[in-house]
Amino acid sequence: MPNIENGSFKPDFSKELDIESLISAPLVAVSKANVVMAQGQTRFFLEYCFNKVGDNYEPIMIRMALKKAVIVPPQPEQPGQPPVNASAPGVLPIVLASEGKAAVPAKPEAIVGQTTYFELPLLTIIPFNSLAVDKMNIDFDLEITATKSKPSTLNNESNNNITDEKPQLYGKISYDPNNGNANESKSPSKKQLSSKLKVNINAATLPLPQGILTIIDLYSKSINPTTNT
Amino acid sequence: MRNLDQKIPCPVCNTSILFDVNQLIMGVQFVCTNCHASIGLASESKPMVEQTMQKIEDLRTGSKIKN
Repeated sequence: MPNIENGSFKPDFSKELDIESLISAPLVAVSKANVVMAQGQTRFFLEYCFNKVGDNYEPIMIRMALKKAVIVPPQPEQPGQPPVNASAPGVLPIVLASEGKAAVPAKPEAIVGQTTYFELPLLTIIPFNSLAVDKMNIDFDLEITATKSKPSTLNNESNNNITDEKPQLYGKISYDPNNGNANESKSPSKKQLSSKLKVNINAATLPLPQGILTIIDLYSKSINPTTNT
Repeated sequence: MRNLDQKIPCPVCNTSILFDVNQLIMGVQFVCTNCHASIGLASESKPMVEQTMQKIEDLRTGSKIKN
């Protein structure tokens, strides 16, 4: 077990471990970090982009406005009540008692702005990408302390067992006692052990997982109008 | 964390229309380069989108999410 004194971590450098474990441990840690980030993203999607209805999740819909110029075809003149000729001076004009049909004047071709409203899942417009570790630089010195071999049995095509020896290395992370900070170097009696382990992790945005991309693609395609048959 | 290359298929001609959510909230309309139809956020949906974007911003900056 590593010692923790006054909140500072002091690894046990004298302990040797299987080299495979030493190298794979940071990779496993990064893999777990990616899983945690993916879970957080999924939780966000479900919490803010979906409504839970019973056991199902329904997407939250938003309303979008689509404006498009539409060409209105020309309309011919529609005949109605024929115009009444002007009466002669001093003569009362004759007005028909029956209700007349008003004439519809001709309309030329026109461009009219038309607004159509459609609904879209909120998920499709939220600018969200996957945050994941895409590059990791691990730099540490290893000191190989022991080499052993263990038997490894393999089966070939003819089911003959081939036993050979698989090399196994044991090592420990090297450390430099003089690699402490300035205060420590002034007081050698309080010198702290410091390893050369350096881990550089770059987190970058990656494309969304294929499953979420498929869902967004399906939702996006659903806004295309279809013809009623 | 932010996806700056957002696009939506044009409901008229299916051409991709690039857009930005923050500008949508501000009332900007984005025009399809093919059929010149413009899409914008309806006024009744602006508060909901604005609230969700604020939550994303809170997550990004690490501040506490307001309910």
